[in-house]
Amino acid sequence: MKFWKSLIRVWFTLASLASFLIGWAVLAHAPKPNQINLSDIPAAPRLDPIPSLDQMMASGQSQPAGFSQRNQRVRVLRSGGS
Amino acid sequence: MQTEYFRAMNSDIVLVAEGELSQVESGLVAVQKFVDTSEKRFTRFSEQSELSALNRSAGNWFQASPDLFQVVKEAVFYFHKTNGLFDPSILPSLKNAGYVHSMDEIRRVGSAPQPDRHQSVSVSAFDSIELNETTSSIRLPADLQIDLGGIAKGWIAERAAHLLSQYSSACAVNAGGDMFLVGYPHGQDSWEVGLEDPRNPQEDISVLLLQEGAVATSSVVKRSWKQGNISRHHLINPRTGEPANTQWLSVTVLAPHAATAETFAKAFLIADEDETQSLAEQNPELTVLAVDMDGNLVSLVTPKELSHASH
Repeated sequence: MKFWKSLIRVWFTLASLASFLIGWAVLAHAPKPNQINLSDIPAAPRLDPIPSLDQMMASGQSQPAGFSQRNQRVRVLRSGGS
Repeated sequence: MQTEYFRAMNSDIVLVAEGELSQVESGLVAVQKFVDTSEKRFTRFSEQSELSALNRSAGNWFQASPDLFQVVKEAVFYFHKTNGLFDPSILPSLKNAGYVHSMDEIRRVGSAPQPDRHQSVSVSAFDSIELNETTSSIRLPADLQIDLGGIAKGWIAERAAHLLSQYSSACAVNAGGDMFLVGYPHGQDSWEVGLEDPRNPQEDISVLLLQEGAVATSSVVKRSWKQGNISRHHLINPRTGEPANTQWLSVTVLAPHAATAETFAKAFLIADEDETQSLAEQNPELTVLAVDMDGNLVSLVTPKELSHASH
């Protein structure tokens, strides 16, 4: 019984060691990631400040430009023939 | 406003209703059941339909349901009103032109080829049908076969709208271009209905602001197919037995009843110049709009309660 216990311990030890070495070798030969120079990243575009609610009310706009869906109506009822 | 879309009678059906949510939902379910039952009754594409049974019984008296009797009776009425231009007895000509299967099936597998020998066109006139109001019976002459497609669809749309109105404060039923409107959307005094551009169906050629009642459009573009190399459509000219050689792409009629709108849309589309003038003089109460081959919208009968909101 003692012999089998020892044998299993040895087996686990060898298997763990072998897995570690294989992983090490694979990672060591893997291609290196590209290095990025932070100064090469283009600057974010400057956005216009969001108009205040008072400004929008004064100009009669209910929504900021670009979000307006006024005059875009999907007509449910259409007659097109049969 | 709740909206329900489904497909029946080879057409897109749109139900629109306003009112208390649970009530409207019950109404939408009831209308779908009604449309389904009616389609099974009036289709010529099923041997099990009541219409097919009526056609098989030609020469003998046929005990009809109240619905079938009503539609056949109206068909005879509109046959006279349109001077015979609306004629449900063109069924053999329709089959000769290749319209043997439903449009959905023709789009999928193509039309039937031109038969070597044409099916004999009905000799008897459509109004030789005998109707017995007391027994709700119909007798077709032995050589007469009928197709109630368009008028049945209009009739179903109007009945469905009245049914839906029992569950809602305002509603509309659109059955593939045959539309019936009841009441008005909250805070409005008309319904906004887009008039489809036959040359570009994604676009509206005009927007109609309509009162309660019916609107129907007949178009040579929607139900069209190729039979060999020949372009065909489903609007048969009863004078020639061939798909109508018309100057219009589509004709739209506004009328108090869907059957009126549907049958006159067909009649005006088929009519030649003289027939158009006669129909217009005999029916000044209608509003008739047509789109010509260049895509121009013209009025054939002076509009009365119509506004063009935009182009």
